[in-house]
Amino acid sequence: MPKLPAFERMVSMPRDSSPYQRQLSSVFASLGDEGRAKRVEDRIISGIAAGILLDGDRLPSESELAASLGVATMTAREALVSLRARGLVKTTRGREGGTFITLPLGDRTGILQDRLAAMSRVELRDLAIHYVAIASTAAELAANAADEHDVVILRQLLEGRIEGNGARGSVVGDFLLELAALSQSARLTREHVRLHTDFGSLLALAHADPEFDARMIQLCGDILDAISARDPARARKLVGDYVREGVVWLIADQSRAGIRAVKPEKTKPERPVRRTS
Amino acid sequence: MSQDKTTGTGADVSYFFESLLRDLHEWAGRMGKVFESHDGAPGPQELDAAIHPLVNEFLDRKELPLVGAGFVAARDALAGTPWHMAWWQGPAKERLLMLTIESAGETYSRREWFTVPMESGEGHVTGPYVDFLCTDEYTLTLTVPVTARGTIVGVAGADVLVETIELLLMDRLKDIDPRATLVNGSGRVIVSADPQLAAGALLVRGWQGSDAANLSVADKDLGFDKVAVGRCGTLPLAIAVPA
Repeated sequence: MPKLPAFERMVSMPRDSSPYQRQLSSVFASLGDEGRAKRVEDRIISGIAAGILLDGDRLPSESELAASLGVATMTAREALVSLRARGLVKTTRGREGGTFITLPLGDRTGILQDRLAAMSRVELRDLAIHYVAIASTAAELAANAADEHDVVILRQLLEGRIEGNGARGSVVGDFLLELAALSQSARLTREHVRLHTDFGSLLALAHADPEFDARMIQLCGDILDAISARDPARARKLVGDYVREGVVWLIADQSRAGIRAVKPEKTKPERPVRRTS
Repeated sequence: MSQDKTTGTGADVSYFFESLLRDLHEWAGRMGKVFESHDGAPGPQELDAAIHPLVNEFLDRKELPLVGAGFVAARDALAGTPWHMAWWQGPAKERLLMLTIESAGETYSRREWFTVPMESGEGHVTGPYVDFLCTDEYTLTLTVPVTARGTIVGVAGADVLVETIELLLMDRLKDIDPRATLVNGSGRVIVSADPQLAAGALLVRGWQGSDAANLSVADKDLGFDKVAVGRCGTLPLAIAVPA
């Protein structure tokens, strides 16, 4: 079958296709023609963008990385070469050597702003719907399943009393991840983690705004109160409120970015905490 | 509800966990010797080399399929690194990669499976919980302290999938009662013979602090209001049966 441009493919899709056919076609959908090394590279970049991999973090060795991602060692090597060329990692030799994340000032924000700028509002909102479906269901389940100890841990996390795992502005993300795990569902948690690197990383742009971050930490306090009061409906609603606020901030930022592009005056991004081995 | 009946067959369930903890203690003793045979604190590479065969041996046991096992160092117990985790998991016994990243130390250092044995000096059963650090599955983690020269240098532990526990213990629970439930220290369901009760649900809160014969259940829609709780020895586990 000749390859059709995306738009034509969309209009030619039969409107009355049964759910079964839709599912069947998803099984045989193209895996994409990106090379595997490119996919490894993208995975690492999304880890950096999501703030999971921080400046100074040591990456696994080529062979460990290859085994973990299920690719050939050569493929992992190719990806690392490309990451090095982009200045995102550096490799040192010797006993304490290895490949480390190097994040030049502002790069994480830059990666995220580029991603955001390339997204349509439709795409952004659709991603948000997916995220909210997972995160709010998790919150609802957590409200039934959390015990007093879980609530104490979440409270400590919100109040910043736990040694920082992750950069500044990650409190809300960490809180929602812990909440996802409290759903007691491994599937939901895995899906949340996956979406978190996707959508959550964009929200990190919003959380770099101290006013937004502080307000959302407050909102998480309300979510925690709902969990503690065993009020699943309220917990669900509040998670929805958080995502809605986030989307509005991001769309407003896209508009601001439009202005920035005309008048190049970048806001100075935070330098992430440097981790030493 | 006869308390004797619960205790009688419940002993099987207790034995299952007690013997696993006993093996872990024995294993931890051998890890402690790795530290003691070393002048000063070992470095991460020396420790990994010494511990890897012990972990392999432990994961190869046929009686109970473990999903992962290893050693997690206390802060500054090793030379040259504040945190270290030597943990292998899966059928291929792969080294956990995420945990070679230094920031992971701060993440594990506040987890129950680490803090409780470090603080109490006793073995502990954590979970059921969704373990998004290691297995990515619904997991039960058993951990015991590792002692060298009178100091706790870390914890040795093993991960078991909750579904493995279900497979191994379901029949034993049904023998006790068609609605018998194994709960953890918080009264959370680990495995239940009762089709209504999902793993992870809170069934009977606060049983550890109570001497009452029958305790109220958290969920009002189960068709019973109270359960009799049979303790599994000194473990933070109990078997609850509708009273």
